This record gives sequence, structure tokens and C-alpha cells, in this order.
Amino acid sequence: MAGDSDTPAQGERERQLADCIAELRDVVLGNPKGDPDEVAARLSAVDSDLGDLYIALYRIRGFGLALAQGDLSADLHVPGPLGGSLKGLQANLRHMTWQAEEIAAGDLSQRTMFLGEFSDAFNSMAQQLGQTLDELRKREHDLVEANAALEAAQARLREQATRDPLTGLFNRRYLDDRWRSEVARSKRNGRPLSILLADLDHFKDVNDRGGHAAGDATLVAFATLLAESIRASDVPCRVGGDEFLALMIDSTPEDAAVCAERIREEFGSVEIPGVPVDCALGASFGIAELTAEVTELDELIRIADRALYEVKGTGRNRVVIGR
Amino acid sequence: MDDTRAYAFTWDLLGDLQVGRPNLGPLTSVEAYRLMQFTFRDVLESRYGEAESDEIFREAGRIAGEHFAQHHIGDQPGLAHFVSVLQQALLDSGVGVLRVEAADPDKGYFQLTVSEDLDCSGLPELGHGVCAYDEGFIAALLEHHTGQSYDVEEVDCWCTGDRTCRFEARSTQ
Repeated sequence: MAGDSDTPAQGERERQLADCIAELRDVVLGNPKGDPDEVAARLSAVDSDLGDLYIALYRIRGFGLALAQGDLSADLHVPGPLGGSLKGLQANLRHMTWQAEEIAAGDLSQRTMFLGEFSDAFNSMAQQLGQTLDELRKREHDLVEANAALEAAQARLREQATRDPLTGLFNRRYLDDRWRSEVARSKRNGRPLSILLADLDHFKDVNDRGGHAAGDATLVAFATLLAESIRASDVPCRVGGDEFLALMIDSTPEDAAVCAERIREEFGSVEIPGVPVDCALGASFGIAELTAEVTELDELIRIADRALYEVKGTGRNRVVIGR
Repeated sequence: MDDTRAYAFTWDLLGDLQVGRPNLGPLTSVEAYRLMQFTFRDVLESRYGEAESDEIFREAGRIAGEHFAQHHIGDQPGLAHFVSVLQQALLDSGVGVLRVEAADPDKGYFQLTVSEDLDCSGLPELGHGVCAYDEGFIAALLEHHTGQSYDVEEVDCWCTGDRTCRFEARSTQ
């Protein structure tokens, strides 16, 4: 204590040292005051090493506080184990920041080997992320496969719901749906739309004498001929036991009649297994056209059916356009 | 091949250690390594000066890095794999603990640290870096991976009191 000093000079020296200790205490344990270079200069006046020590501690303090706040960009030029350890810590944190960025970019193979328990936790996290991602990928793969199977099953169901199982032609339900959209399209584009109604002649005779297998073969043969004789845009359907209908898109009744005539002729020469040779198998056709007055499918079918009835009553195996 | 040279480097010059050291094995002490390095430095510096001897070490480091990469690293798909394999190879060889602090391959910039460095860790503080050999070694490793030429500068060293070696690498292209 200054009061215990033997001389005034000693007292002054002790007071200066006490000031120096206070400054050093503030920079390590408290809050340094004033400009650090000025404080260092004052301390150096007492002892040159004290000024250097103050600056070193001041820098280490600033670097440590920056690290604690997550600022990894600070620079430190203080030799020795304390400064070196802090810089080593900074290097570890920078490296792990880079590794975290690599993980964020999708590289889950990153592992680190510094910082003891923190490294264990980091590696465990990266490993767990990798396993979770693998599991998610596997589940996604399973889900994609299940979805594909579901879509295939739905497609099969849709097919079954809209197709006649024997001939593969569309059924009446599909025809009703398609009719509405085709009528709208015909009106929108000002294009004709006709239906072709066909009924097999003497089909009962085929069944009675050739059996049901021959009957089925006959139906399939006619369905195949019908589908192959119209355009891909037309819609071939089986609408009853031996009754067929085709929506003839962009076709006038005359166009449809030409097509029907071709089918009729070719069907007469088709050889069908099991059908007795003397059976007068043939097909009669009625045609009807969509008009401003006649827009319902049932109405068109009635008109085509009347034409068909006329054919049946006048020797069968002909094509007639209903009006 | 230059027939007048006795020591143009090839990996074969390292010898077959399994045959040659059946009892002692392939490892030696850091002390023995540094004994050779710093006596070389002594002679080279005496004859050629500090800057020139540093350049000799740097050039030798490049040759070493190139052959080390060929034998221990190979072609790696991407920087992360390269770093991972390199880290392990340096650990296995007892060369040091490598960390990447910053990497921007597109701009040709890397900042790396090597702690517990074979050349300098534990040396007295000399007021200057001593890892010229490492500078060449790292430059060759980066060139091996990127196909670009690099200049590497040691910005912190144990011998400058920094306790870890920090290197900045910049593409020369």
C-alpha cells in the first residue's frame, strides 16, 4: 500500500502498479475503459512488458467474445498457447461450418474428428440424417411402386367399366358419356355426327346350331371387322346381345352408309369357326344423323332402329339411312 | 529421362518397407524426420540463403504432393470426397490434422489449416513461418484434384506463435 511505503518514490511506484493491475483486471474480468492503445502506452511507461500484455489480453478478449457470438471471421495475432488454442477452436468451427454447408448440399458422408463430444454429436447427427434419408428414399421408392400398381389397377378397372369383356368394344355406359362430349364438339365445330346401328342376321340360328362358342366367335368376328373398318376417332360399341353401334365422328349419314356397306360385304365372306356353312349369317344396318331437332342419343337410336326394322322386314343384309 | 541424374524422384525410391523393415515397420519418429529436415535446412540456407532454400523446399513439396496424391488419394468425385480421403491419408501418415475453413473452387480459393503439423508443431517461436514444404505439398494436392495450378501461402504457423498452420490457396488461372 502507498501509505506503507518508505519513500514517496516507492509510494508512487506502488500506486502506478496498482493502477496497472486494475486495468489488467478490467480487461480479463471486467470491462476495459478507454482507448486500448492509450491504456497500453500508460502501462508501458510503468513496465514495457505490461503494455504488451495488456494489448495481448485485449485482443484475446475481443477474439473470444466474437467467437462466443458466432463470429468466425475475426483475426488474432497473439503468440502462445492461449491465442493458439482460440485460433484452433476457430479453425475447428470454420471447418465444421464448411461441413454443415456440404451436408446442406446433400453430402451426408461428412464426419468430423475434432472437439470431442461435439464431434460425436455432429457425426451422430450426420449419420442419423443419412439413415433417415435412405429410409425416406426407400419409402418413396415403395410409394412410387405402390402408386404405379394402383394406377395400373385403376386403369384396368376403368377399362373393365367401359369395355365389353367379350369383344373388347366400348359398352353403353361409355357411349352415353362420349355422346355428350361428341355432340358438343359437333355443334361447336359445325361438323356432322352420325350413328351406325348394326344387328346380326340369323344370329339365333348360329347359336342354336353352332352352339354358344360359335355365337361368341361370330360376335367377336363382327366386332373386329367393325373396329377395323371405321376410323380411329370413331367409337365402336356393343350395345346389346348381337347389336352394335358406332359413333361416326365428322361423318354424314351417307359417309356412314358407305362404311356400313363395306362392313356388310366383308362380313358375308368372313369364315367363322363353328358356324354352319348353310347359315345365312349377315348384318343389317340402320343409320341416323344428329340434327338440330334430334340431339338425344336415344332419339337417334330410335330412328336408326326404325331403319333397321325396315331392313329386317325387307330381306335383311342391307343398309338403310333413317330419317 | 535424364540419365545424368541419380535421384529424379519416383515412388520406387521409397523402397519396399515390408521387405526392408520387417521388424521396425514403416513408421519412424517425428524427431528423426525433423532431424533430417532441419539439418538439410541448415546446409541449404548456408549455401543458398533463406529465400532460395525455402523455394527448394517448396518445389520438393510439390513433387511430394503430386506423388502422394497419385498413391494415396486417386481421383475422387467432388471436393467433399477429396477432402475426406485426404484427411484420412494425412492422419494415417501422421502428417497432420487437415481442416477446410473456406472453399470456393469456382473462384479458385481455399483456406485450410493443418494442426499438429509434422514440420512445425512444437517448434520454438521464430517469428516467421517454416512450412514452405507444406505450401508446395498442398498446392500439388489441389492441382491434382482441380486440374488448376495453385499458389499456396502460409499465413499462420506454429513458429509465428499461432499454434496451428493456416494456408491460403489461390488459383493462378
